[in-house]
Amino acid sequence: MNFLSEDVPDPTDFPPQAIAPGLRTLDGSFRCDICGELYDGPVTIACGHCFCSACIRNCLLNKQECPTCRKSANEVHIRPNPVLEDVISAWKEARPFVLGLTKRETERVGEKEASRKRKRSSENPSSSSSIPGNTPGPSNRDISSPTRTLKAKSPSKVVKKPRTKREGNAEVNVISSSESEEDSKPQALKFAPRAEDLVECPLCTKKIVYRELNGHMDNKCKNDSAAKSWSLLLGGSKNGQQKGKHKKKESNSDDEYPLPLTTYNTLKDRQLKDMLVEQELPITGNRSNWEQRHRQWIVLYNSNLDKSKPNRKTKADLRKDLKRWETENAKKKKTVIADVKAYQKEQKMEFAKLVEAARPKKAGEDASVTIDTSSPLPLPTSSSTAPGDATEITSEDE
Amino acid sequence: MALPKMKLHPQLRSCDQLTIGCSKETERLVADPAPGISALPHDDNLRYFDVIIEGPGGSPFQNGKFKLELFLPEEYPMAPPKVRFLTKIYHPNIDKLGRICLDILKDKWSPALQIRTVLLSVQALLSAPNPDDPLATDVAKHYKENEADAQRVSQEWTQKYAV
Repeated sequence: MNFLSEDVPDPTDFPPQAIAPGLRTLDGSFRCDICGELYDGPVTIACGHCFCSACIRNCLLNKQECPTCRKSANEVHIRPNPVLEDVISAWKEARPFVLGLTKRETERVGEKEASRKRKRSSENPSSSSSIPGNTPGPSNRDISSPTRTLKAKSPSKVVKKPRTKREGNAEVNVISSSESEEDSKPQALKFAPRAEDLVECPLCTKKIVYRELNGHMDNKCKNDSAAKSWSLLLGGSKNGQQKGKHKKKESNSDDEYPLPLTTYNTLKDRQLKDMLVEQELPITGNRSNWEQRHRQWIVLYNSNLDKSKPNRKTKADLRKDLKRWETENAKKKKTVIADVKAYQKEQKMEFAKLVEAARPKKAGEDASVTIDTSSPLPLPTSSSTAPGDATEITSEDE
Repeated sequence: MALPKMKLHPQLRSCDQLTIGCSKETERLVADPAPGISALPHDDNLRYFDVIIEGPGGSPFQNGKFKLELFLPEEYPMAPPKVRFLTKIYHPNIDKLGRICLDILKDKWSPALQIRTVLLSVQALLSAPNPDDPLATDVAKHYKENEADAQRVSQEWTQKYAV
């Protein structure tokens, strides 16, 4: 039971309702129903329920209904929930602090019950010594220790802060986020566009600097990524391979657009490969690997877009995530090896090592035999775990 | 924990992450148990739980302590946990091997469900047998033809096997 003592953050870290009213529920309601973690890129779907973007996107690939209420749901209903995202990041900061407070409070209450008279004297040293500026209430703006206490102190302020910052950013330099579209619309109405103002292209509705608008339209909105994704959807671009290199320059402009879901059945191997190359993904493995890889990439990529800008990962990080996902996934499915002999040859050293390791343990039993039987499996790891799992499952199915 | 395996094969490490995901739920399960239900994971396999469900009051299974096993497959929470009665039980939706006929364990599974909710559903199934969707056909027939007598048998079995 050691693992239970490991620190797994969880609503039960907070005392039950009777002692700390609402705190446990509060922490619970900041968590995704699917993964049980604090929301990571929270999104809302049509029924109003909230999930981590990646969680719900993965779910909807299997079944198009809300996991909580079973109302029908679809990818297109997914909307980011930036307010909740701010709440979560504030809660992440405040949580340890609140935990500390409740812990002290429960200790204090215990002490109080032990001796009521000592209550006052024990309260003062505990609050002033451990955490600076700990006096409850909103009137601690002038406490000298800067942002850190402020943030930890009052979540409500933190919620407001990043928001205003982001709105400011959007007006100044964000080019094509959905937020800036709304923000700059009134501007466009008020003023006649100047050369450096952003205007909406009447053809592709993308934000373009006014001075470049004519060139952009003459170019038939070529730079537009929506058009690109459509061409992808309609069978992939023939010159995808060449595009791969230009891509790096353009990548800034299409960062903001979610990738469309694709029906892989209609694609030829070549087209699928091109799509992977276009996203700068590896083209190792077979076709089903490609499909899974591309599908998961879309999930990761799109869910990353559902986060507010400062919280987004870079493409490189996303690729790492994809790789990790793939290795994990590969383990779940027992890999079938076509050429057993070649594989055995390849892994001979590995097996020998295992035999060496196993010998001292089971001196009586001939370890080499057990290793031999497990050899067709790709990794010794899976061979040693797979039978265990399998027997459990079969024993249940009997 | 299967530590020796991990030492040999670093690739197992990512399984660690999965078990951490499970243990988050487990911790909550243990720290905040539902009434009449207990679930404890095995030390050597965190995906495998020993479960005890108390027969709900007012049902023929009252006062019974039913042992179950619960296994979380690798795909959990995308796939439902596997649950099976280990204690013999006379119930139209539970067959003699202990398999349970419950929609949320099959096609109606949702990733928002948890071990706790699943076990609560199983407990609810004990209070509300559904002979119209039977798994043990003979028991279901008995329940349909003579419910009082069938309940008597259920009670007998409870006293005999589930104490």
